[in-house]
Amino acid sequence: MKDLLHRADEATRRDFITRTAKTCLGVSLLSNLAPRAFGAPFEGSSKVKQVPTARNVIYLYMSGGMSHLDTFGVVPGADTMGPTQTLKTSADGVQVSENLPLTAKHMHHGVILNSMTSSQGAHAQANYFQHTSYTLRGATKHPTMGAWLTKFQGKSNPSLPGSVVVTADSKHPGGGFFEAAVAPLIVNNPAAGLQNSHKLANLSEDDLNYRIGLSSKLDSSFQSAYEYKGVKSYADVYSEAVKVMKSDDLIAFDITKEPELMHDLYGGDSFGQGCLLARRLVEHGVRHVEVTLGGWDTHNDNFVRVPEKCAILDQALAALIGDLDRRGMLNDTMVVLTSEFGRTPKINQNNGRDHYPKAFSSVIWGGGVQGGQIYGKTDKGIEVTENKMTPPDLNATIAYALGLPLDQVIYSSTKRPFTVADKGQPITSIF
Amino acid sequence: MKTTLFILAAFCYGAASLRAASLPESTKIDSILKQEWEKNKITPNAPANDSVLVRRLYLDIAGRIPTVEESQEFVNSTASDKKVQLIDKLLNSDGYTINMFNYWADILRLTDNTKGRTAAEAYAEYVKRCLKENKPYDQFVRDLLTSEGGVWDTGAIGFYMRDDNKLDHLAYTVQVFLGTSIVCAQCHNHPFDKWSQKDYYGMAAYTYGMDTKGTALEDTKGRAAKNEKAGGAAVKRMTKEERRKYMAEHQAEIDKAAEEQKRKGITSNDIAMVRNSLKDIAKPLRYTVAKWSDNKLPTLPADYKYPDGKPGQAIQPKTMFGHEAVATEGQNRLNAFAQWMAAPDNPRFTTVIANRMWKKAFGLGLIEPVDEMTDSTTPSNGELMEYLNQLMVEQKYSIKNFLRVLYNTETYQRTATTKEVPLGEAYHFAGPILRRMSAEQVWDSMVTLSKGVIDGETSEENEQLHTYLSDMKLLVDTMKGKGIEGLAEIAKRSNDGTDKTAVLAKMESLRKESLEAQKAGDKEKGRLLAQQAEKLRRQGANDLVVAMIGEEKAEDIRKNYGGKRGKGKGAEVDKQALMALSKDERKLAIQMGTTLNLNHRASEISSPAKPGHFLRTFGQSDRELISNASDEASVPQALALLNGPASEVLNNPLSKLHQALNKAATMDEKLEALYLAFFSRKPTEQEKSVIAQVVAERGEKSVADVTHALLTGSQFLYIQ
Repeated sequence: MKDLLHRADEATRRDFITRTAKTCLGVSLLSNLAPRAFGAPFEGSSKVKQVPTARNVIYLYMSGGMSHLDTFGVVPGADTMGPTQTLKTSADGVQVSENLPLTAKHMHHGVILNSMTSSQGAHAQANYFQHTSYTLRGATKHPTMGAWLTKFQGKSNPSLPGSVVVTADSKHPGGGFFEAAVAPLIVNNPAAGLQNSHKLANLSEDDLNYRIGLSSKLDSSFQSAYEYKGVKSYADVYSEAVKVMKSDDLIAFDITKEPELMHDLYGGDSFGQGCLLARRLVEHGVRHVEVTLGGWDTHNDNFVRVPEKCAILDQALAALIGDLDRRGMLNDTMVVLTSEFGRTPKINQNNGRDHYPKAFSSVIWGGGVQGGQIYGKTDKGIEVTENKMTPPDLNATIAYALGLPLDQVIYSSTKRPFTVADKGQPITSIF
Repeated sequence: MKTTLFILAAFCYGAASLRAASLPESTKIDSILKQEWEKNKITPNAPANDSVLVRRLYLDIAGRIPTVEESQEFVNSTASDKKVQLIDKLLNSDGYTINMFNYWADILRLTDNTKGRTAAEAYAEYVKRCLKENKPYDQFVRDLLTSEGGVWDTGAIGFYMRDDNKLDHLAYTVQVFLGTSIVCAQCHNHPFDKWSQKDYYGMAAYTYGMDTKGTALEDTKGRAAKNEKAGGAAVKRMTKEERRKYMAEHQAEIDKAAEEQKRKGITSNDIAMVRNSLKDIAKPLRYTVAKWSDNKLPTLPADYKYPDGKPGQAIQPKTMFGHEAVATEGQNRLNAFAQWMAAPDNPRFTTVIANRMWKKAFGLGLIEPVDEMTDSTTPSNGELMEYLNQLMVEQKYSIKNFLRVLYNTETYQRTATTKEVPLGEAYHFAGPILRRMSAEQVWDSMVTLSKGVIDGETSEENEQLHTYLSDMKLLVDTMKGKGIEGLAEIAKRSNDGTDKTAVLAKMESLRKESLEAQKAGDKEKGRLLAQQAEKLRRQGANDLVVAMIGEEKAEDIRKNYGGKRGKGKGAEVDKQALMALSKDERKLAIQMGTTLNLNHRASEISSPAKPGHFLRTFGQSDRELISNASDEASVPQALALLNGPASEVLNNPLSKLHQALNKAATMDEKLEALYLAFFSRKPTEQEKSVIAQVVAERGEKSVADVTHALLTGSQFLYIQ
């Protein structure tokens, strides 16, 4: 009986939510309750479908073009390495650059993808391609992986957004052409958490409640005078907002709740804090979190600037993987590290390296991959000589791990068909 | 329904009436609609009262709510032509420019996030100026389509600078000005419309010759290229035949230049060094020039699969509808295209802008969506659409005149329709529909509450930008004048005339040492040496620029253009009010001023605002897609108004609203002033009774409570 009541309750709740489908934190509660059907799958469903090995993804984006030779795509002894030396890692036969001593200890969990190649050599275009699997063109903005995940599988925690992006970049493609409801929430400053989620300091709980009550009283005649969806949804979002403020899950956004030890472990810079936030969010049911580390565009003084960037990356990355491992989360949380392209094996006259989409590296840890291996080969970082793969292939691999249907077509508002990783093929051999 | 009517009546206190519209064109529109109502047995909405109308007119035309003084001046006026007067006043105000700028910024996707920051800002300024001057729309479009040159010549080149890919750009152009979506046909024949991929390329051929990837230094570089070998950017872009022809024609010249170079003792090494030094300058000079070349045509893509063409085939220009755009004597094909596009006989050009402006005033187009027309598109009111087209042509594409006619119709001046028009259902325009304010209107209304009227700030030209641009022009001209050999000669000498060969050699050896140190494992030494080498290079580059344009201008260029938005003249801090505060209050006031900086109107801060900014939270477009703004409610919006600093900013002692409330003697007067500020009307009887209760319960806290309650209600966000 109680169960029935509860269900009836849910129905009205659903009605209520349906009306405000696009209103919640940029992500609606609807997807959690509604059946998971989104258009008919195309005929001949994908041959490459599996039981998902990953529940969550933490996607670390190295913005600006990370030098593959000076990080993960090392070729010990090659002249193209310049002054960069290599290190043995915790995995047999796997080496990384000397700039990543802490991460080296976690390579038995990781797969280095050494045979990435992209058709895009300019930052904006290559970044977009890596994020969406589609080239930047025409009047369509394509969704990123977090949005696809929410679109296909809904949210796991109704009071939190389905995916979060920690970045200062205002050009992130986000939810693309999808409805606002599945777009990732953008967080500019990881230390500040979710904007405006706490009441004003000099306002007591009672004062705030009084004002909220007064507001709806004073708004009631306007509310009843106009029968517009938009007008009604304003009344709804205020009650949702109050719920969010009182939600226990709000602390997911608050990294000050982490002990000092954790802050020291991840590093006090924005990237380290972002990784710490990512781990907290995943723990609370946010399934896709992206964290950006910029500044990799080393046209000048590559061998000074890459080690500086690596120091930040190495600390946060090693902390994240170690932390996930200790908490038993690494098994179903995939950590992906990638960039828009690599950098020229030839060192330019300013001791720098220029854009190089022809061959570069990405790395995947956890989430079901067989760690401790290298996939693909290059000839001294110059040409891919084995197992060539593209950004759509990388995205297909992530989607495959998440159990997303690679061949399910979704139409944009311009009525054009798209799939999660375009024509990308998942690298199934690494699982 | 009855209760709705009752409540509406409660809203419309005071008598409202419609005078006969003052303009014959407005009367004509009203009479067309009257037939429509009679045919469909519809009663038009009641006339809106002065309070509703004054708030709506300010928001629709000036992009913000009126101040209490402004709204009361209108309400209390007994002049019989006060509506006409107000409409004229607002159309001539800077608020109109700002509001229309925000509108077009969304359509034209004006953004600072492009490669050329100077071009982006100059473009924004150009659009503002055109709106302020009320440049006829057809002329505006023709100017955008045909402008070329440096950013110091015209900001209009920003139109082409916006998109690197000229095939994409054409799709945007057609969607914006011809209301037709052909983007699908870029890759394959359009699945839902008649356009073929070849049609697309035919249209693209008109604008394809506009190159925005070059730099202002190209000519200098080009000359160097000629001297060394024919490999410069200009030559690279030529077709094979062109290049062969060019080489043959210029062989003698090239040989001669090479000899000259030898005679002067300039080696290719010197030239490489100049290039290297110029790197710092080259950066700000990139993306500053749009250059038209008449012989560049698009070619069909490698995967072209239709029988009417072959991959790689160059496509000649061909219009997608209407007559052909044939260049007359002295015209290039771009001019011919612009002429074809922005002409009354183009089947869609006039309809698109007339329909857009109608939608802007009434909230819904006669054709929806406004930019996806096909051959089977029919307007909801054919006669009216036809008349609006005629009116647009009669008014010579003066947007202000056209809008003046719309705002002076009786129909516009009726109350907003109380029921949403269901999607896909015909609307007969019994009045305007209810609209949520745009993000910019919300922001600008908050600015008005906090700072009063600051419309005028946009009339200031961006001096910093213009100084920078003129310095840049001087630099480019000088460099072009000297040629790369001339520059190499300058580079070899310090400004005091001494030979710099030794310094340059030092730079090279530092670089080598740095690499060696790094290889040997001494990172710190390597880093220091690299720094020293870079310092010498910078110094060399700086000397070169100083030699060309002088110390002061070189300094400006070196600093690069940081962008002026948000730093320019805005609302002044009220010093007197600040002085009157206690130390703590002052601290709070200053802090509030910085956490929610309401000193500038939305059009004067970065474009678009950063994600997470109040404007973006309220749906400001990211300016990536055409008309990408949103008016949907969201939880972050609610959180921003509930917990963000907005309410405190308005309650801050420095805010105009707070000061006005302070002047009011009694609590009743204070609360009445609040209603006037937010809604341009006094509270209704029902509201008064709620407020009386608040005063009884909360005493001194009432004002802050009611302010915050009104701010967080939906009513504030809507244009009734």
